[in-house]
Amino acid sequence: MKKGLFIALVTFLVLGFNNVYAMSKNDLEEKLIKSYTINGTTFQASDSDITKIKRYIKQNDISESDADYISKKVDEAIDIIEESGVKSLNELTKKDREKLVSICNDVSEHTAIKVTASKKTITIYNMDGTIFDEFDSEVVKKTGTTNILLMTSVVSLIGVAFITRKKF
Amino acid sequence: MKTLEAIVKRFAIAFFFFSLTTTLVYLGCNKKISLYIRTFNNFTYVPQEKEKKPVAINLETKEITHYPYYGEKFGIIKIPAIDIQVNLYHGDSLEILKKGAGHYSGSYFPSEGGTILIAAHNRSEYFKYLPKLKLDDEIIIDTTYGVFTYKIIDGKVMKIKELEKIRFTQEKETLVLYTCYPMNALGFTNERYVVYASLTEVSYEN
Repeated sequence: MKKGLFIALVTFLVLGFNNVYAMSKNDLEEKLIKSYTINGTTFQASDSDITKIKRYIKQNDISESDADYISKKVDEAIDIIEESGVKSLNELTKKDREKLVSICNDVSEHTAIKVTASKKTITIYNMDGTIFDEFDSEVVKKTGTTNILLMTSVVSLIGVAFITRKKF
Repeated sequence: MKTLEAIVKRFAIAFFFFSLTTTLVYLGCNKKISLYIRTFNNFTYVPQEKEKKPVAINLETKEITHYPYYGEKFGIIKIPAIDIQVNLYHGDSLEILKKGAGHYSGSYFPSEGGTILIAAHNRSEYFKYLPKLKLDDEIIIDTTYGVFTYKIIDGKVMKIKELEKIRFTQEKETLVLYTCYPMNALGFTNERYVVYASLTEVSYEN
């Protein structure tokens, strides 16, 4: 789970991008599925997660402003992890986790992509209000690198927030 | 009068301590309280469902333009060799599997040319008799956007961890059905009976 969640976050990195232009859906998709290296470790979304990412972006009209906003917030999240020097989310300090939670809240407040989390279930919604995907939060904790939901940066961050907030 | 004075005095003291406590909590935990309240508000999002669009496919490109939502029934699985018909839903949560077969959301849909993973319980009306299937037996998935026929190419018992290593690629349209094994097991097991089938025929509905 730890490495999988780390992969989830890493997947949405937009490293080296200056964001001088608004990001399109296609740009966002490309960035979400490519591989990245953080603190010496290379990560990439699994096959199934790439499938979900592509399907979500294809089906939902993510605005350029939302895509751009998400991209910037992911950069902030990755900066936090890079500065911490950790290779696993479980190694993050409580303070760093709280920072990630704040980022999740911020993205959820400012974009149209909605995720809810209960004690047992994490639910991702399409923009028409229907459910896009749903999974057991325990699965996120236990599953391996090939079986993590890597939806959007919002999802992964909120997923992290959900997991990490329980340890506060 | 003295009684009233005593009561007022007690209220005043209680109010003082209440205020002091609240102030101390606020000063010590304000940020954390705000964080939790904001997190709670965000996580109690109640979606406003707009009119649901039906599943749709572009008949020229054969590309699905609108997918089923999670939990939506979008087809029926028919296996003539073992005489079963099972409703097929998008998603494979426990709630969905109580109603029929569940399509894993990380796999492809029929028509996308990729790996399709579908689970169902080992009940007699669902996938209990998968082990009886033989090579070339047909599996028909009758969806709201087309009818897809597959032929069995393999069937075997696998550990759960092996199943988790299945790759979801678009090299070739392959149907994978699985259920808990042994078939008479009650509750969670570590093995699955898995059937692989290859696409042989497609008919798109208008």
